[in-house]
Amino acid sequence: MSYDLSPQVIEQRRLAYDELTRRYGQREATRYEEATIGVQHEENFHYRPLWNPAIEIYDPSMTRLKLADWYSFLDPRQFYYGPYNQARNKSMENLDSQLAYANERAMLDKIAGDWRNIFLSYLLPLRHYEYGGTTVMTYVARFAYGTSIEQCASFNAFDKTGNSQIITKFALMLPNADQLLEEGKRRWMEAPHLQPLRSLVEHTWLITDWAEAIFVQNLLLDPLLYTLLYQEFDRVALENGALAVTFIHKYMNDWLKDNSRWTTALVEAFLNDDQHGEANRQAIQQMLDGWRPKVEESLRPLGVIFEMPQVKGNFEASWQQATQNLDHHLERLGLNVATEMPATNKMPATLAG
Amino acid sequence: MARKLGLRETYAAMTRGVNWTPSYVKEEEAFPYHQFEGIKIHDWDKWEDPFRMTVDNYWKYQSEKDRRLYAVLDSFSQNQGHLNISDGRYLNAIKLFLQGVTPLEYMAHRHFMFIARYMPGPGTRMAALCQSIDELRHTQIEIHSMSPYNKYYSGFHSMRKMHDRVWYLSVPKSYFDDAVTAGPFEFLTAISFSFEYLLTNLLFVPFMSGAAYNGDLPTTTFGFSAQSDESRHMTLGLQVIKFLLEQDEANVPIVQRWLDKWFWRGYRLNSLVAAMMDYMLPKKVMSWKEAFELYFEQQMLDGLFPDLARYGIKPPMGVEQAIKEKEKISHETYWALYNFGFAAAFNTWIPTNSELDWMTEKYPATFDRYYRPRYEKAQKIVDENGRFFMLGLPQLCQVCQIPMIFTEPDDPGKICFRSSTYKAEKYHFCSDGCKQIFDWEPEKYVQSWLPVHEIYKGNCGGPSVPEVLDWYGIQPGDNGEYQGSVDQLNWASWHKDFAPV
Ligand SMILES: [Fe+2]
Ligand SMILES: [Fe+2]
Repeated sequence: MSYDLSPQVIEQRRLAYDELTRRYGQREATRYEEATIGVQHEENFHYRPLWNPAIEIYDPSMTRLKLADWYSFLDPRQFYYGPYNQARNKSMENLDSQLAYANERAMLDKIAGDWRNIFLSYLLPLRHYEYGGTTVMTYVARFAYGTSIEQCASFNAFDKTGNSQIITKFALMLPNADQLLEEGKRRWMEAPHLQPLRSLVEHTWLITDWAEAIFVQNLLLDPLLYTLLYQEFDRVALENGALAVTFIHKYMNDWLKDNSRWTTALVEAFLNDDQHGEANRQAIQQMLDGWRPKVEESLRPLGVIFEMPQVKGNFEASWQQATQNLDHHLERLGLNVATEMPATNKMPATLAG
Repeated sequence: MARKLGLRETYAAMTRGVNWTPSYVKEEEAFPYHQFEGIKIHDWDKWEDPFRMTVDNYWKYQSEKDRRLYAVLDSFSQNQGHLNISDGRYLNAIKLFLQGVTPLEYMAHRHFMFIARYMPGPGTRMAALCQSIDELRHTQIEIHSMSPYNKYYSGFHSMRKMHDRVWYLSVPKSYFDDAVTAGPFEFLTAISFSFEYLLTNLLFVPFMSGAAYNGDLPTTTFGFSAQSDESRHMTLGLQVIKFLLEQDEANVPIVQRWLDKWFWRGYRLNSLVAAMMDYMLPKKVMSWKEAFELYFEQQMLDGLFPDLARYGIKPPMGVEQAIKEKEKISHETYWALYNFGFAAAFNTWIPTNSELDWMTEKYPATFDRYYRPRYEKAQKIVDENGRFFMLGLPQLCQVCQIPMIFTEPDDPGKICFRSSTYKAEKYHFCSDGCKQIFDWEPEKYVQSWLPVHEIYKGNCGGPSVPEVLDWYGIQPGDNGEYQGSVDQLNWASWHKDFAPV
């Protein structure tokens, strides 16, 4: 049955759900707003968790930071489940067609023999690094306060597993993939240049303040590591003719850019809070000051990777670039950058660009 | 050239072995929660992943499904599709769904992240991660599907706030709060197995086929779209149980206790679904009794439990009582909703004569004897004095939080009361099942946020009915009688103005 609606218009009784009209006044809401704002339960929880009776099911005290309004943070990408999946599917289709092209042009066969060993020294062990990142972000997704924040962390957690699988996917295109995966794991567990990093990752699993966990992973660790390996070392790979892997590097780089958008917005929300902004600034600064030296120490040993290809890379210049990028990002956010850089050999400014 | 791997091998390569046992921090510190319940796992690799979905495949399938779903929702909104449902009364079933079930989808989303974080096995963690974001999907597609209804009808406007506050919604809320505050294996038994496997057909099929029968395109569409997610979740539920039972014999009695508890918790929750099925659908799908016989007695009792018997698992506590109650609970529950309907965020009404006849046919043993006379009397009161409501506050069961409305299993004329004393305090229950659940974990259930107690304690906006309703977020038209309600008047006038073409 259908109705002839042409002559009259039925008047809407409401423009949007109350949660949204209370906040934005009488206007239609976007699907992102409907799917996000005020969705998490807030009160009258029935029981305390057996596994941690000190907290409520959702508990704002799970971070030192505070927001007068937890929904003052919104994802600048406006990702709810639907658009998130569409966006990721699109990048994946892109990567798949690039890998298919690489396969077609036999690019993988053309990678010189020593690259197998190089992949084993960074890319394959990083499957596990990414998986370790999922561990951190699932924690955040469970314990962060408010749907807008935890939703970003949920996608971030799933992305990290995706990144791990993308590396696996690449490995599966190479000869003797089983061995590669096994040996890659052995190096993650044992190779000296990776142990400080693995140790750091394991320690991030114990961070109980979820905001701190986000900042360590998304403001410090990922940006430094991705810049070093997927941006800086990418140039080395190109110079050495390892073309196929640069598609993976590019995917990772693009992902980092996308993922850092929500973290940046989250820091801004904390810093701009009328009531708690200043206290948040001090706490965030403390978190970053405490973690940055440890993060840097854990990444410095990756320098050996730059020595491995025939045409060697310049790790110190790359390091300079990575830390400078990080400094600029933090400065743009209005945060202080530590004046002393432990374990860093400062390069002359002219070499850094 | 690399060897081409099959789906299964690819999946195994992608997921297995990515985890590792930490050595720079203590393992118990990184994974502190999987042992305190007493469950013993010897080999996590014995976990058979029930669905082998890699992340890239997931993005691909799910984005395709979403594209189709949102296309339907968009055209529904543009074309005033809400006018095509069977009758305005129908939407009350969907209000109940949005207020009662959608927030549970969200709870599931959050807590499967807990499982994904804290289980040491990579297969379990991956399955939980996928389910977590599936459940976020369900939350959001339900909110989006019902958004067009909110624009024209009462009762849809404040889903989450109502779920946190309104009395009858503390039934689903306490159920899920109970599950997420339990240990991880109990959570999996409660939600993945008991909720998603044992009772899922009773919970979701009535809503989804009800939607299809009553012309509700958005609900039908998201129901179908969620079905393939649900079938993954069901498989996970069965896998969880078999894994626990196969890993160690000592797990069997623990799992049995959880099945006993969570069957009864879920079954009591389902009494709201029973009332919805028999009373709120203008076009009936099947009766609660028929659904119970098909989806529980045939599929679970005759199908699943003989299979679990080889592990030493028995059908759960309370099954015999549930079978006896299939003649009663929809009627007892709806009658309570009808009586206390001034405080509910949906409308209630007296069934039409043909609906009463349908119930006589479906419930020959009880309906004419116990329930039809109630509605005939109610109709007489309406005709003579107008609609009545019970304005007092009912006593609630300490465990399931349903008012004391259920009768003795063998006597539909006598209300069932049970009680226990704990630390010199007396607690009340609707049934042997709820009493047993309390007696197993009194320290948990003394914490219950009981809506009626909270009103008495002054925590719900004030002592008077209007103050409490205001605190609930109930607006005029949301509650009370359907006949003469805003929704009914609008429905009538829209259908007068817009003649079918
Ligand atoms: Fe669901
Ligand atoms: Fe009960």
